[in-house]
Amino acid sequence: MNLGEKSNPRRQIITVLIALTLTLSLFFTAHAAEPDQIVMYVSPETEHLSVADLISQILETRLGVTVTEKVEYPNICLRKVASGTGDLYIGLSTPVQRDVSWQYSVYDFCDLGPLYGDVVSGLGVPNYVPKDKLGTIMDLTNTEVKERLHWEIIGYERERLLLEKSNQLLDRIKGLEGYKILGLDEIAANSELSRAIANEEWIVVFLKRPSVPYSIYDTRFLAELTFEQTVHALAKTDFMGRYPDDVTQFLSRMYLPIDLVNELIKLYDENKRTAARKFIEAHPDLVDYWLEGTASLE
Amino acid sequence: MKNTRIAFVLVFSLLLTFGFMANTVQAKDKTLDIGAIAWEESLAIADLIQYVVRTELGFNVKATNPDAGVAYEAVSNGDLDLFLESWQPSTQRAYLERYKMIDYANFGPMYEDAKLTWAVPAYVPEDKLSSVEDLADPEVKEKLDGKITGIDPGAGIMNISDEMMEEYSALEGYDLIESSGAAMQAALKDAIMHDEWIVVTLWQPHSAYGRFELRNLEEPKKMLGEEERIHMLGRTDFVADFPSKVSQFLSRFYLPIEMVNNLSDMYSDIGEGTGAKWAKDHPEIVDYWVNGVDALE
Repeated sequence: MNLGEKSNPRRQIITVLIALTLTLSLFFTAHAAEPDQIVMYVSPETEHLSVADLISQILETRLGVTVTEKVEYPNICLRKVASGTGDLYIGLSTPVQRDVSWQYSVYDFCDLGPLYGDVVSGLGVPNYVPKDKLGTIMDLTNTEVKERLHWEIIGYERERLLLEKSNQLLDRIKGLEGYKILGLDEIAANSELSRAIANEEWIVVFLKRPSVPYSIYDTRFLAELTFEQTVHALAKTDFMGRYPDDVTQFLSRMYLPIDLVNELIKLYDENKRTAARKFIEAHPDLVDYWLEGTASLE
Repeated sequence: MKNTRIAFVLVFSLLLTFGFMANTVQAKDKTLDIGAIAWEESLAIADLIQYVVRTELGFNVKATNPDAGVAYEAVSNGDLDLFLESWQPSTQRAYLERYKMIDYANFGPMYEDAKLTWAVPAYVPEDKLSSVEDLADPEVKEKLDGKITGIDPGAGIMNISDEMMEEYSALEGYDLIESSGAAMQAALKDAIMHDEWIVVTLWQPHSAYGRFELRNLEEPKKMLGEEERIHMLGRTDFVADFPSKVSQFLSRFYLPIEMVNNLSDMYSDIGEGTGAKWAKDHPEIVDYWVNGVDALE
């Protein structure tokens, strides 16, 4: 086209109409394809990643839905799902912390309910440490115990609430002064525990249930220091109107006892790619219930 | 000095032991206060939950019938442990927008596919009448005697149905008959006994679906709203305050809409005691809710 040429109004209208038609068809194609695809946000803890992978595997292989997983911190996951950019968020721990979610109303999400409960954190020891020597927090006041532990408790720097509760405990109980809580990152703390267990040394660590260390090592709690929490699947508010009943009902019915979450985490720690498949093969009745509901029970 | 320390440890251990014992006793004695709106399906579900919590889990339960606004406020401030009828996302939207996530322990949907609707008996041929738009057909209009059978004037569904009468040209010449819930059900029963055609204003879940074979009409303009999901909301510290077996039961509690219809139908017949009868008729489902994966093995 000659840029100096005067444009033809009729041609302009036709061009606009064609562009509009193309835009509309592209929009409707994308819109129609949406119920086959789920953008799933997950927070970066192993326990959340392993459960999210199990959900993806079931959605993809049994319900024909394509899942795109995105790993982000809880604040971002919540923002994405509340705005409708994301469809699903796996890993919200409740009761929710004020700084994470205080601004969101019940209407902003479709809370699909707990995926599992019995989530607690506290101080723990390997089970080979004799219970009659170190069975409760009070045993930490014993001089022999203090020496075996080198006056140290292995902590995670990221677990702020647990750090705070542990420090309060040390301040409150007479005889616990002098202990030092090491605030390590999670990898360093886990390797400390692993090294101690390899040598059957005594060690007191921050312990979370569920978690990789809790799943793979034989451990016990000396004291549970946090309130029990549940972990939820959270969807965007119009999720149920947009996705087929078999998808929404599967997610509403899905609930894992804590022992099975630990089993899944252990499988995930061994091999991320095969964990979900192995779990599904090991628990066909439970997966059938999630997919078929009461019909599979009667 | 050593004696003092031993005495201190003993006293502390005793205090801990008594503390745990007191907690156990307290948990066992704790009464679960549940709120159920005085609707047939809500009362039916409340009766079932009371039965399971009392007989299978061994806890005291007390049920009251607050309206929705009172229930949202009472659960958020801890005066009520559990509210059974949070309709989401549209029907109770005002409350959902007013309260924060942090105010509740959300146990997720206990059933889905709830909705306001217009329905016909299933024997009315689907190729003749499957949508509100099909009411324009003169043959259909004649079969229905130009009537849509409604319930009480002022009920939410009647207000919307009134608007539909204006909005759909297919409804020109039809009358929306005001009656009551009981009169609507009587008219439906009478029509079914005589194999006559009838259109009624209805909502799901409802005992009529358990009693008769019905079909919902499509409503293309979506004036009756989309499907709703019904959640159980607990007070925010519910999981910490009640033993795991209670919160696990509530987390697993989920029913298909057909079963909610049947439960409502049963409740309309026998009232209190519905939960016990339903539980005896469906032991496998109750076993799963109470015992989880152990019930499947």
